[in-house]
Parts: sequence; structure tokens; C-alpha cells
Amino acid sequence: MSLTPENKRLFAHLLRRAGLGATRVEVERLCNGTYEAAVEELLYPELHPNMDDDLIRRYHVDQNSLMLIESSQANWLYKLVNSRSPLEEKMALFWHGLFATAYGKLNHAKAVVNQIDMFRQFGLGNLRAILLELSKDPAMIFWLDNKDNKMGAPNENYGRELLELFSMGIGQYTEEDVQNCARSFTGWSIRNAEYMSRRAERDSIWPYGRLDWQFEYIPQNHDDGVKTFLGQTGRFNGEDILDMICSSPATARFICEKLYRYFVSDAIDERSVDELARVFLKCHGDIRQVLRELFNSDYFKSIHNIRSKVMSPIELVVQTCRLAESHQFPDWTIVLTAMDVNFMGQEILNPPTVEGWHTGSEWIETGSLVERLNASTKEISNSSHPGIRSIIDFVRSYGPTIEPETLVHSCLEAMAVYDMPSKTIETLVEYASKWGNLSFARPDSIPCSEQRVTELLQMIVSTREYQMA
Amino acid sequence: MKSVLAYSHTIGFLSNEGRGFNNPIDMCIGPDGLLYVLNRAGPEVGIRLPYKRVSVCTSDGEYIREFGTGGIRPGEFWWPSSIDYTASGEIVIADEALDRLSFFTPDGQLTHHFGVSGRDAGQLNRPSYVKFASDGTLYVSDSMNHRVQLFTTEGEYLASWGGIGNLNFPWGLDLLGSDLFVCDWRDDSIKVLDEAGDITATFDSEHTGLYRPSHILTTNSGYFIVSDWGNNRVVVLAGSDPVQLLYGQAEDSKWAEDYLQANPQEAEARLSANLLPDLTGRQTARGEPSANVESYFWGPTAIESNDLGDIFIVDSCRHRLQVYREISSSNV
Repeated sequence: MSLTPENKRLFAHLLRRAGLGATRVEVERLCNGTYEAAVEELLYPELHPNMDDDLIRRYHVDQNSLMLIESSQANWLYKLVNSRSPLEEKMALFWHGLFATAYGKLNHAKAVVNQIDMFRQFGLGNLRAILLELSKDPAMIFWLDNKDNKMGAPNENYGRELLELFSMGIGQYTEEDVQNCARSFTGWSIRNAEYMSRRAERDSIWPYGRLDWQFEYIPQNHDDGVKTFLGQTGRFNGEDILDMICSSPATARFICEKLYRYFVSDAIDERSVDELARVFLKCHGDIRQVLRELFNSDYFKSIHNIRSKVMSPIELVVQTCRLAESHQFPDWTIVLTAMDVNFMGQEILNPPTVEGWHTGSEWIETGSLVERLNASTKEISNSSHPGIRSIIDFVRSYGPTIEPETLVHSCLEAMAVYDMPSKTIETLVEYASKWGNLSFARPDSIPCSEQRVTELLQMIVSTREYQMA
Repeated sequence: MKSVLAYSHTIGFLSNEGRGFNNPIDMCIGPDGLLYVLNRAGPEVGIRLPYKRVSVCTSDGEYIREFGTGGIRPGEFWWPSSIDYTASGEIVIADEALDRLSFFTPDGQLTHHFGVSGRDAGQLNRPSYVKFASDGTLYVSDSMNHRVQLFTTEGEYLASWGGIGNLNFPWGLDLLGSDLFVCDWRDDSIKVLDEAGDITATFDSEHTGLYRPSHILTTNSGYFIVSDWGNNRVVVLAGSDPVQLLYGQAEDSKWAEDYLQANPQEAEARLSANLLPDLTGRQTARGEPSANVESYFWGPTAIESNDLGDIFIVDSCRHRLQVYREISSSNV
């Protein structure tokens, strides 16, 4: 495909939604191929091996053990900013929001980090495999009390949420199904449950820090009796339950609606979701195939769905860092940047409830909006960041003297913002005109001109459009 | 494989202040025979800054005192990375965030500091290790400038060795005669430099199996003990040949025992737990066994020895020192 404005807008949209933000260089590279090829590149993250994390662990000793929530949040932010497999990370965020597991109850940050690693490994695969890993995930077992789910004394927390929040949705099953789902997962526990529970209750990090949790199946705690689930009867265990869940049209509809809301629009289009659900059932829950259908669809590419979703705090911060090329090498300030995400209302690894975060326009409120603007402008105004230097150099390539209108257009181009409404552009040009033309002709004018560029960048990241994906 | 080192005991306990350590990264044995353990701690948020400190204790685990705190003012640490002492008994601490070397009296009073960030000769970019030679020369691993720099105690620049293409994020150093042994961290090798700074030998990873080595200790009996940080183990080398691999076997230290005595319910549950579980799946991936098995090394960063034959391994992510003794004195 060629570098037409329409193509650049479309590829930038794909990178914002299926990736972690668009940069000019990435968009122009992808424009050399077809849109379908770009989708395939995103769908196969294993083609782009991720960076070795030795540097971050070496300089941030606390991120080697990930004992603390702040360290763990900063560690994930570093991976998001530097990942060469953006869809893998984006899916990890998706599953983290859907299967929300919070540090707050666990008091064990690395357990949640391990769960995120599992989402990276399985997140683009088959839903049954994902749910099986989730059911064995120690953080989830602890979070929804399945370690206490034993024959004769079932704990229904996990069984209920598996059906209600993680797969089928309320109204698709009976109370008896919940009870028998829970019975089927009896005995799915963690090793050394008593010791680990006592440590978690007391938030004990002694004597030598946290110990990872491990899954353990305890046969004597498993209820092997006859159960009826979704109209079928047998001596079911957890894996049988997952088979039935994953072949249910309700699950297909539920998961596809979640994917549609996450990648396409907060407003559901029933026909599009139905079509996705058909694909889901046909491919037996292969998430990669469902996403291929979604990203190549007309509704995904529709102009109505471009810049229509409010970016989550983590998406906004990661996009801006990738644009600025900040935090490419370990430095202690990444902890502060991770805290900015918290202040905007999204504590990654510590969602507020099992329902995850309320998204869409609910990300925006008076306080969080100020935090969003402050964090974005702080990151984009630092001309020592390589990405900002590149933007300045790009602007300077337009000549020694640059008119305000050219300045605005070159900055938008450099930031891969190809769809700014004309009214907003007029406002930006008006702002840029306050001090006349920009000059790089004389050495003594360069610092001032560079500052004017970064001030304009601050204005751009403060626009409504930049804050939308 | 032969046994050169045998486990002796463990010193340590996770604590934010007082008796215990918090992500110890290096240590030295002072002229008073005491252990000076440098706590990196982290992350760098206000409430946690005081956790960065030097803990002083004896080699059998008697807590003596602590000094220092996190911060950027003179005498404070941000990313403390290494500790050693001068011939006159002053303690020097490198800081790889502030690019600064600070000198203290043994009781923690700042005497002076030097260090300028940059790439030019004499400037520093993340100094990761400091080592004093017997002639008073200070060797500094200038890690992000990929070189070793030599200074006087007062900070006068003497020489610069290595550089891009020769060293790759150097970390730990040790001296044996006129040879300088450098843990070339990102090259997964040990480099030997002569008194002119020329590389005369390389112990490469193909031969040694090292992955991101952090520190090397040369012993009188001719062995090299390397903290193989990336593999979470300690490797004993005879020349460049591995002769013993240690994965750690820490037990409860005296400080840990005190804690467990004071918390009997937790102690009881601990006693009935299997702390040496069989590992499967992702638990076996590089680095993960150490997160699952408490007795294993997790990020060993430094090694030190005293005149009593104790060999102290700084076990950074487990907030302790695992102490070994040399049992084989046969020369290599």
C-alpha cells in the first residue's frame, strides 16, 4: 500500500487498537505492505522475540524479585514500553481486565505477574487452554478462594465467577450449574496452602521475602460424585466443565462481545458480535482467528470507530512513552511514571474488584483528566528523549524557517496523528502563530524554536483526539 | 566435579531498618573484621528511601549497627552499588544513579565524595563496582562507559581501560598480583587485564557456562569463585574450568529463628510446609526456581572472604548472606 493519508490513518488506527500506539516510523514501514500483512504480523508475536529483561533486573534489584507492587507495576510498564510484540501485551491487558486478579487481597505481587506471563503465553491461543491455565493459576486460586473448595465443603467463588464474569455471562446457567461447577473444581489448590495462607493473611515477607505459589491437585479433596452441568450428567472434573463452557454459544457471544468492546467500540453492534461468535464456534475458540476476523472487518476499519474510544490510563502512558522513546533503558523514574497511571485511576496488577475496571468514558473525571494531561505533557516535553529529538529533527527538515501552519502539520505527521479535525488544527495553528514563524536559521534561535516545538507537542497531547484511540 | 566449598551458615533477614538486610548488593570486610553490607533496597519512593543503608554485623551474625540513608544529598545513596575500604580504613560506596563515590568513616560520617557524570576520561556512567589495590589505587567498573577507570583515593584520574568493544557492562572486579579480573557482565565472560590494561585472557561462557556474571573472588588456593547472577548460582573455576556449581542451601539464620520464635503459628505452618518442592513448567524457566525454592540463591551479586576462611555470598533477592567454607585447599 502507498503512503496516502487514508492508508496512514488506517495503519495508525490498527497500531493504536491492536498495538500499543502508533509512531510515524512504524506506520510508514507497515504502509510498504498490505493491511492484511500488518494484521498477521501483529497476530504472531513469536516472530518478534521480546527483549531480554536482564538490564531491568540488574539495575532495579527490586524488580528481580518483584516482591513489591510498585516494582511490579514499573516492571510491566517497562515491558509495555519496550515490547516488540504489542498485541501480546495488549491481550495480556485484555485478559487482566477480564479475569481481574488483584494484589490487594493476595499480598503477593509476583503471583499476579506470573498470571500476566501466563496471559502472554496463552492469550492468543484457544480459550479452553486459557481457562484451564486460569483455573490452575495460583493467584486466581487464591483470589477466588478455590484453595478452600473441598469435597463436602465447597467454596463456590471461583465456580460462580468462572460462569458469570469469565465465560458465559449471567442468565446463561442455573444455580445448580454453579454448585456443580464448583464441585468439579474441588481439590484444585496450591501447594503448602496453610503456610502460604498464613503468610498472606499477615502480609508476611519474612524471613527471606515471598515464595512463589504452585498449583497442586489434591485428589482426596476432589468431589468425584455425579454432577449435572448445562444439562449433561456425569462424574465431571474441572476440565470437563471447561469443555462444556467453551462449546457453549453463550460463551462465544460473551467473549466476542468483550473483544468487540475492547478493540472496536464501547457501543455494541449486535450483528458484528454475532458474526464474531460464529467464527469463534467454528474455530473452537481460537482467539487468534477471532481477532483476524475482527481486525480485517469493515466495522473495525470504519471511520466511525476511529478515535472513538477513550484510551485507558495505561494505554495513554505507554503510547506517549513509545512516542517519546522514554524509558528505553532502565532508570529509576519509571516508578514515578507507573505511579502516574495509578493516579489516573488504573492500578495495573491491582484492579478494584473481580469485575475489573469500568472503562470508556468512565476513565474521564475531573481529577483523572488533570492527571492524564499532566502525565502526557510531562513525557512529551522532555527534549532529551530520543523520540522527541526525532520529532524536532523531523520538523527541522521542513527548512530553516517554518510557518505556524507547517509547524502544526509537521508535528502531527511526526506524531502519527493523521486524523486531527480541521477545527482542532485551526486552534493549534492559532496557538503556534502567537510567536510568528519558527526559525532554525541562527544557532541562537534553535533552543527557543525547539522549546516552541515541545510546547506545541504538549498542546497536541492535550487534545481530545490524542486521548482517544 | 569436586567439592571446593561447603555450606556453613546463613546471616540475614529481610528488614527495612535495624537488624537485617534489604536487597543487599555488595559487602566488604572492614579492617575491624566486621561485615559491612550495602543495601540497595528500592524502588525509589519516599517511604522506602531509608531502607538504603549499610548494615554492620559480625561474621557469625551478631548485629552491630547501621548507617546511611537514601537520598541525593552528600552522604546519601540513590542506587548504591558497591562498597570497599581504603588503606586508612575509610569506607567507599559507589552510587550508579548519582555517578558518585562517597567516603565515610567506619561509623558512617561522610568525609568526602567525587564523581562527575559523563563519557570523558575521569567521568562516570553508572559505576557498578569499586576495588582498592594495596597501593591505594581505586579501580572502578564504569559500567555504561564499558570500561574500568583508575583513580587515587582523592579522585584524581589515573587511567581508563577497556572501552566499547572490549568490555560490555563490566561489574565485579578482583585483583590477583598485577592481574585485574573483570566480570564482563553482558559478555558472559571473565576478562583478565594486565597492569597496562590490556586483555590477556578471556574465560568465555562456552567454557564456563556463565550467564551475566556479577562478581569474582580469587582465592589463595588458586580457585576463582564467580557469582553467576543470571543463572542464580555460584561457580567455582579452576582456571577457566568449572569444578563446582552451587545453587544455594540457606537455612534459617539466627535472626530468622528469632522471628519464627516470636510468631509461633507461622513457624508451625512453616515446619509442615514442603520448602523444597518438585518444580514443573514455568517454574523451571531461567530464574524461576529461585523464586520457588527459598534455600536457593536468587540474584547473587557479590562474594567476599575473611581471614577465617569464610566465604560470604550476597544473596540479593533473599536479603541474606549464604556463608561457605573452603574445604579443598589443593591448588589448581
